Amino acid sequence: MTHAIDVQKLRKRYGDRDAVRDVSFTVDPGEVFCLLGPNGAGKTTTTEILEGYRLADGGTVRVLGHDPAADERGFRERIGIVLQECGVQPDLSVAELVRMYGRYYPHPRPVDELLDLVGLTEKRNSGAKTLSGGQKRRLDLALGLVGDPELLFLDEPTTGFDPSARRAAWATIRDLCALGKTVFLTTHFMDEAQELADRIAVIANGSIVAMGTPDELGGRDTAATEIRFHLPAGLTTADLPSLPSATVSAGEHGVLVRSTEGIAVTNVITGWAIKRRVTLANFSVSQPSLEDMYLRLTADAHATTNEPVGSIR
Amino acid sequence: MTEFSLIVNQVVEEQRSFWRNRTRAVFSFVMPVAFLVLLGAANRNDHIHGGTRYVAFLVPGMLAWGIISTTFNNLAVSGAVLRDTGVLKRLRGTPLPQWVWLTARLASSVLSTAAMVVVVLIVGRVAYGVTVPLHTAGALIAGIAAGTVCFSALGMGIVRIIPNADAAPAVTAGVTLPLLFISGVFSPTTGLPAWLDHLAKFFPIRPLSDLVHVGFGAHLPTGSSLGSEYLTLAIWTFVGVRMLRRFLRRETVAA
Repeated sequence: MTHAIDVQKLRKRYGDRDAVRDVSFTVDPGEVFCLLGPNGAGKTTTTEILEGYRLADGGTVRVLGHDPAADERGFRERIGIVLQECGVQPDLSVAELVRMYGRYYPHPRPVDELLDLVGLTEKRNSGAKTLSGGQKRRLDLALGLVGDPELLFLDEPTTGFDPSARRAAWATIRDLCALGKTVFLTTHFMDEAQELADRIAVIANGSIVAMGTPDELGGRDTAATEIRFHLPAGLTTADLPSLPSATVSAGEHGVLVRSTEGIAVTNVITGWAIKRRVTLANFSVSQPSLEDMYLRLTADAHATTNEPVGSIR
Repeated sequence: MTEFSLIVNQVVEEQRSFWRNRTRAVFSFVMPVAFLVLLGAANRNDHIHGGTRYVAFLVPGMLAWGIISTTFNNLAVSGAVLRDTGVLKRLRGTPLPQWVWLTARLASSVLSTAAMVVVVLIVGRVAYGVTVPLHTAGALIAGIAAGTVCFSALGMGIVRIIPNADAAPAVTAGVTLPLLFISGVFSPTTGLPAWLDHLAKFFPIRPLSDLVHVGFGAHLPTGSSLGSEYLTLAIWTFVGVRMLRRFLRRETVAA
């Protein structure tokens, strides 16, 4: 199978600093791929190289079989780009803009259908400069989709949205995924990546530090389960039954048991508690969250560099 | 869609944007016409050196200013806005060929200029009885065409050195206003000291103004040939195109 996006050992320097270093990944057709990382990690630089806005200093990049640096019209006809904070001609109306941008493509989507998809039908005759922030982002999405692209780039699609607008945007993006489009998403929100992506690459300080499905990212699926509870007064961890393949620690926040055999260990503890008629207050079992993993991964990357966080644009 | 219809459609959108933006339409289009009316009314019966009526000087002067205004000022200000608001970056991400976009910008600026020329000619004739002699009509059209191309190129190119959209009107006024006063637009150049006269001729406003005055039947005050006027405009057109090429380089637009 040919990849929709194939990036090998991508490198980009600004001055004497590597903004992107040895970045490699592939995206399959129909996949929603998310580049997740803090601001300044190299997300936008990587994306803009894939979009043909910037030129790589090293490595190879293929997007839909094209070299984006070649700046071919045929390449641009097959992709759609939704950029952050990119304006439109302010004196034209929503429908005029969608029609105008549609003319640039060989097979534009019908204006009405598109306005319906992004929920701007009622605003079709309004001037672009009268739109609210959320409406502008929906217009951005419409203009990204107007050429009926095979591959859609979404750069931080919900930055600045309130929670309900984010939910609505996610629903729209999921609808797009259902159309079978390949989507390349960048975000610094973990929940957004988890919600939308088939696969996530975490980028920090210009390098990819982890890659996988939201469930397996950073070894989350095989990481130790954490069991927490409080023992009643008079009992100590020494009173617990023997727990194979587990580490037990006690602190002022109660007892923490970590084990890769989460189910078995939980069973032993709860069985012991029921038999001894012991009440275990605040009993909880959890896997490390994607957020825990993300923070650990990006913190590691910062620890290995002496540059201040966010110094790379 | 063929390239030609793409250009035509793009010109329509450019024209829509131009006329809907009242500030821009007023400043670049209405101002020269308004000055023609005001200055003409105030100095209606005056005569300039050589016995010519002032209004016969003023009509070509305002026409020259109008060309600069509808091309240079308009393209520079709107270009800076399109860059700063990210529209250029957005367009760069679409299949619209850059040359189609540039051609449409130029064609739209030619249309606005043509409309302004017609209005100035009508006002000049109706209000002041100033007409274009038949034997110089060709020279007038050639001069207007050369000026339109030169100041369109400069207007699109100067965006490169305009730091931000807010500064654009100040930059365009700053580079044009001093030159307008020494280029035979508001007042004749006959009284200029020789050094100022020579200085003015290095810049493109003076040659355009001289060509338009000649197009209305005036004789060049210093008796220079029209060749040097066209040469100066050609050199500045080249400067504009060079600045434009550098401005449109990929990473400049992306940044």
